[in-house]
Amino acid sequence: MAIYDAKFELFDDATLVASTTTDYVGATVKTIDWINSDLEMGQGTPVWLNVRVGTTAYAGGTNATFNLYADTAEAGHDSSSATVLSSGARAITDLTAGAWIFRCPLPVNVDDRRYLSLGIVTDGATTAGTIDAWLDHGPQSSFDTQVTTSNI
Amino acid sequence: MYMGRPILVGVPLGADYKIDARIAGTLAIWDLEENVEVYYASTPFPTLGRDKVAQYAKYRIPTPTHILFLDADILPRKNTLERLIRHDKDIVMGVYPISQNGSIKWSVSREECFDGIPIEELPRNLFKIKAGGFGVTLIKFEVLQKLEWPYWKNIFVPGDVEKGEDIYFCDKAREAGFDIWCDPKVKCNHIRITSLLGIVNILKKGNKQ
Repeated sequence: MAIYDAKFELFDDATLVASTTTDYVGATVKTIDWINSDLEMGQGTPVWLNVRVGTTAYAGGTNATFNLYADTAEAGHDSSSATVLSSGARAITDLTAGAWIFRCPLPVNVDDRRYLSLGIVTDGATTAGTIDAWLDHGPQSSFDTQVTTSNI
Repeated sequence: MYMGRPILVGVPLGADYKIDARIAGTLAIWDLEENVEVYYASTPFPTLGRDKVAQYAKYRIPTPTHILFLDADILPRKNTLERLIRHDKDIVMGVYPISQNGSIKWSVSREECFDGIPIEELPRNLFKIKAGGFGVTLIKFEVLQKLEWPYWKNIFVPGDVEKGEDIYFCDKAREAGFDIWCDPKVKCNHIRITSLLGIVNILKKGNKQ
């Protein structure tokens, strides 16, 4: 059983920074739409969220918290969004290139709201940092294939 | 908010995913806690199930701080997890009845060669053991980090098992310097389908000895 045949990427080495202490969703983020796509959650095996720093380490500020938001509206997130998952505060100095932030299963009711997106909250302004973020089937997936060039 | 939950409850299940509704109900209550994640590992045999739980814990980021291994035929109390966590031990087990050589004993042993503690001889407070069944066992994640794989392994002799996989784990952990503790107040039910005629035969055999 699979929810989808292809891995779903939110970020592919794309910038995700914050200039203030408020949430910011990078312009390159993809929002998962559980309805208007070929995605089908299915049942029985968990879907995993993978988030790690891309090729550019984070700089500026002191801490960053990465959050996964669920919303009924497509355009980013706001005060009505539900925080599905939070990394807790991570020191900027630990957010080096390739550092893992999340690799964990999503709750079974993650598709209760139509849209999913990833955001960041910082303590102080960040000036750099890119992110790889995608969904897969966790240990059942060949997780590192997302950084290779597809042969399809 | 669903975070990287620090306490992982790993439940090895048979390939058919069957589990007692009372056990599943207790696990569902625990899963509502913000710091607990329940993971069911469906595999053809328990050794693989336990290893699947361990691999799951190691794969997850952030990794858990504790793992409670709970067998699908062990019925805990609602406060079992909280009690075991409170001890802050590297490895701590609860107890449940087992059948050993025709006798009903507790699932833990003070002897290196496993000998379940007789029902009437269970201490009243936390005590150190040499080994125990893995049916209800809480370990700190760092134990897995320090031990070499495989963590569980059945040692066979022709036609029999010389050392079960849970005893293998206990021996390995003690050799690595970890103490194993037992909280005798964490008494769990052991839900078994039992052959009553088999018990009669064992009792009759015992009477002849």
